[in-house]
Amino acid sequence: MNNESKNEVRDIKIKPFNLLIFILFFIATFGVVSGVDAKVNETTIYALKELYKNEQNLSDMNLIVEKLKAEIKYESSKLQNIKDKSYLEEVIAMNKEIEELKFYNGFTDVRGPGIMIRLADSKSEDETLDIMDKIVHDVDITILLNDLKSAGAEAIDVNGKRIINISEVVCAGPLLKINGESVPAPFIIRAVGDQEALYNIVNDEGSYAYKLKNTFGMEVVTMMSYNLVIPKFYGNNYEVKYTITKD
Amino acid sequence: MLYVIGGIALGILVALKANIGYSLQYAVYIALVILAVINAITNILSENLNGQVTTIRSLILLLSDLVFACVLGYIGEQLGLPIYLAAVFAFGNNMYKNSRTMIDYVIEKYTINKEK
Repeated sequence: MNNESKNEVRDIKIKPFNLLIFILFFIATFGVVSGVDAKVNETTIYALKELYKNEQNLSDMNLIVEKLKAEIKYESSKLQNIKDKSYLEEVIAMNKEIEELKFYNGFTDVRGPGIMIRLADSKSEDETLDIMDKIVHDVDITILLNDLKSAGAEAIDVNGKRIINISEVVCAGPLLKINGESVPAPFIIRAVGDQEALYNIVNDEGSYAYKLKNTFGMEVVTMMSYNLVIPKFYGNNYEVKYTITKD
Repeated sequence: MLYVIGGIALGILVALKANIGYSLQYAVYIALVILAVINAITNILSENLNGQVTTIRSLILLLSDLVFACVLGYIGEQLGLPIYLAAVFAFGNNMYKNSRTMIDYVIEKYTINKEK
């Protein structure tokens, strides 16, 4: 009796306690009943867990693949960039270098101010001179070319045959052989360079051409020109057999 | 008693009518919550017999149990190990202890009444 009344008093007194009891029972029943209602057993739960794990793995893999794809894209774009850029620049630079080398070595048509020399056999009637001294020899041409080079000639040709580093000037009977081709007299030598210097080296007293002209009576005519066109080297026998680049 | 019956009835009703399904991803947490709540109920009932129960204390105990159980569940999920079983066993053990206390109380009361 006493106990009951005590309980009743407490029931009335502690309202929050009743509320707590109520809520707790509610949650417990709700959870259990809804769990039963869902009709799932343990295997389904584990299967689903596995599924979730697999899904997670899949999404991770997808992420990795995406990353790799982006990386590939970036790298390929970089590569393309490099290809596009330096290829062109390199080609341009190489072309420029090739053109320069061609220009320096006489494989291009050039023009510029310089002198023209006409050299022909002697018509002197002087009987004391040997007949061999009256005609123009390869040596005369070679020495003249050497003189011109020493005076700073930049491009020289003889009768349209460009003189380059391997050009030969040799006697071939009544003709001269230059760049493997025969050239008849008279010889017209054209040289691009400092006009005054070239003119002086040919016409100064004591020069070789002066001697030719005045001692042997050869025809040496020198003319200055402001626009000489010198053709390029046309020989096709420029081949290197024995020389190799020293590294 | 009225509150108990009301809570159970309302819980059944709401669970059947509302048909709120929870994601199975959180099955472990749901199980832990249910266990913790039932554990709290048994706790309160057994303490109520001795007249030692207070609302604040039981609430705090319930919340701390819940938090600890959920943390264990989370760690287990991350490690791939069933660590939440620790909480399950602890709750189960506590529940059985409380039920024994209650049964003892009832037996004692019954025998005392009979002797009188």
